[in-house]
Amino acid sequence: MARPIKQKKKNMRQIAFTRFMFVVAFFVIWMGGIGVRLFHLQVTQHAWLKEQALDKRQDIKQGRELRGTIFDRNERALAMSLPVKTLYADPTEIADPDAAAKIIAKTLKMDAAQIAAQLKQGKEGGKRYLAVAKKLEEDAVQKLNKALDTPDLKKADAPNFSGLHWKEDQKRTYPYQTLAAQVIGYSNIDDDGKAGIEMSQDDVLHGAIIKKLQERDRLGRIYDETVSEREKPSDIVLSIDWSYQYLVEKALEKGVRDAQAKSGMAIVMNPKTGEILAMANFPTFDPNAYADALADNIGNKTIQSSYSPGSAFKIVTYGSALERHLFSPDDMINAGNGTIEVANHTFSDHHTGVMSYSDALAHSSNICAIKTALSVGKTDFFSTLQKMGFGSRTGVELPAETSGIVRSPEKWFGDSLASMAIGYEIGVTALQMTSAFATIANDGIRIQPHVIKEIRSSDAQTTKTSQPMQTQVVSVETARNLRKMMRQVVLTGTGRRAQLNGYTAAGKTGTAWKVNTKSKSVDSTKYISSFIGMAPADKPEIVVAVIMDEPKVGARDGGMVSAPVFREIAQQILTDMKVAMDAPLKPETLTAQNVPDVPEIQKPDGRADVEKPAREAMPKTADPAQNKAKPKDIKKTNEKTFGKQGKLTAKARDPVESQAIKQTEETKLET
Amino acid sequence: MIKRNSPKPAKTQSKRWPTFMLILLCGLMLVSGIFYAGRQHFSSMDYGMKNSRLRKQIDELQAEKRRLLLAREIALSPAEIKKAAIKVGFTDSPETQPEFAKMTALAKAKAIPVTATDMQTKPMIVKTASVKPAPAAVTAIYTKGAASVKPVKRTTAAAE
Repeated sequence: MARPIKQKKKNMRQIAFTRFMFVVAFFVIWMGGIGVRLFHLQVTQHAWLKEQALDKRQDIKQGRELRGTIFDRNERALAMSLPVKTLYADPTEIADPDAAAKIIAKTLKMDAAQIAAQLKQGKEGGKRYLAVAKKLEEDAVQKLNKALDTPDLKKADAPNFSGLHWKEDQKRTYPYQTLAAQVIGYSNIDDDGKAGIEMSQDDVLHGAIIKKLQERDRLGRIYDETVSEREKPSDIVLSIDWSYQYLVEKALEKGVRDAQAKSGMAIVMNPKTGEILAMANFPTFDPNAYADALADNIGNKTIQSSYSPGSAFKIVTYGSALERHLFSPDDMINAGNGTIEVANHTFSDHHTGVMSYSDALAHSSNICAIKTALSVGKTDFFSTLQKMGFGSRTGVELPAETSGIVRSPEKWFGDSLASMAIGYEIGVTALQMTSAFATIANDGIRIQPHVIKEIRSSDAQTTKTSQPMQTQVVSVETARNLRKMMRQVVLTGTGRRAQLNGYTAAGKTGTAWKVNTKSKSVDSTKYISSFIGMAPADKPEIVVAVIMDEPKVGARDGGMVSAPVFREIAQQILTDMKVAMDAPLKPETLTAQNVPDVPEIQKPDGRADVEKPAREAMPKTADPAQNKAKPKDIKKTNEKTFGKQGKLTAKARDPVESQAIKQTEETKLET
Repeated sequence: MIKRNSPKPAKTQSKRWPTFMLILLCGLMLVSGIFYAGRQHFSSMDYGMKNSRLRKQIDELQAEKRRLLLAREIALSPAEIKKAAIKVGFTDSPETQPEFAKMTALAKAKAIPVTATDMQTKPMIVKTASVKPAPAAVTAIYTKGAASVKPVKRTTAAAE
């Protein structure tokens, strides 16, 4: 009996064991299956699944750091960038393009049909990105978010509307509008600098591209964000003073309008440091609306265009002679009968007889200047000219600077030295001329003009300060003598309208005929009139250059149209700079603005002492007759200006002025 | 002689309890570890979200600062000051301006003067800045820190 029980027990154990083994096998197979599946997912399909997971979880946002700010020397922001947003659509996600377009158009006051058409087109084409509204500011963004809010939709990012998203963007703004527009320049819609400092310093100002790696949960909420390493853009501090710039622009604008000139340029420079305090062009443009600006007005003509300086260039002529101790300012020079023949070319002007060198410069005698240049010689004249910085770029931190037109002596004509002595056959920029005058103001030391004071990192640490080059160009004695001679120009010469109240001033007028590019000869009806001066005369604190292109009113010479602008600018800036007065303060009625137009000095021949452009110009034409003034043209111009009666009827009551008009008219007819 | 089928002596009650306790302790540790790890994970997610929100707020405040700076610059720009002066009643009288060239009567006659109405109807400055109310979370931080300090009323700084 014991045996069957034992057998039964054994069978039971076997059954239990078998069952256990079945369970184990089941689990092994189950786990094996899972293992195989896991292997398949994690090894075979690893890359694809990882990509899918990252795509669901991670979001890479690409943006750009805000472009650096441009400040003036008083920390006033002249150009700065603002964060804005661009609304873009994923047309494939938009169920009803018409409805979306209607809301957007209503909020932003746009054309609904146009937006709807774009969205439909994008949807058909399977586009995933379509910019709907670019560079919207915060208030517009908020308005649109409110209008597009769909209560039933759950979306992590704004706007809560399927298929519409915001992209971070930036917008460049110029709060002072036209102020120093040609110096600052502008940057385009892609934030690339296209003119001025914006262009030349694009590398410094340009915001680096930043990448934000955002980790999102299933609801689209960001729970982790990694911002890639980035270098922030720097800010630029200019040497420009916004208040001086404004003052200069206003004075220049008025001067250009009053003279009915085509355009005007003005520069204010500190001769001791080489800092440009103001640089103005008129007409100008608003960088906020650069697309509407005329291409002609965008360029900075003070450095980008060259002109014949005319008599203002005589400082180089006299400077080179003084440097070689060929004369002293009080020595006498004989202008003869007012004509001189050089290489079969007769130069003439209305100044005759013996006069001092100071008077020769003061009254802008062409003959005296030519004689002086001839005594200096080609080589020395060219050497001084080069040392003064003509024929090479000044190195100012602005784009597209021209070096002007200066030919080497080997390429000169027989009469080139004579022409250059009076500011023809040479092309200079306004900045080159200002720099040359600043050299004389700074006792012969030429300091490289610059417009950038410093470059700062985003945390306001100065990373770079400008260190301009300094070169002794002429001796201290030469510079002082030249200042003394230029002082005479303002006191008794052609620049009397530049006289200041309470300050002494020195400078030189320049009036030159323009070159007609079509006929390649001078156009005696078109002038470039300038006045470049400094004040106070003994220890100049500022150098101011005013250049008018094609003035059409009055005598049109530098003393008439540019010197008063100089006076206006210098007077206000010197007062603002609190420069100690070095001349008696006169009542306003006695200041230079009321200097009569009647010349104080009458020449023996009785001719008026009004500066005339020399009867020379560059380039030379084959026919010398073309270079001569055409009396008929001048008469026509004068008729246009003064009327057929030859007088300004509105001013006829003023005896002083009517006399001046008469004399100016006579001078013009003589020319 | 070896007794093969003799029953094994049963474990005493006192020997079983420590084993059970050890198993229980391990189980508790495991469970609490899982809970702790879970809590840490969700807390990290929460901090991440808070961090992201704060970062966004910093960006918004910096943008706001820029807008205010710009609004200040626009307000101080000569064009805007001139506009304000004209609004107050000042006039841009040509008599106060010095004469540059005396023979300029023709130019003056042709110049088109800018009138006060022009300045008002054609604003020189287009609105470029705006200020929206600060998020509640931001203001809450300041009110917590300085409860006694009266909140400053924010005004729209946009250049009108």
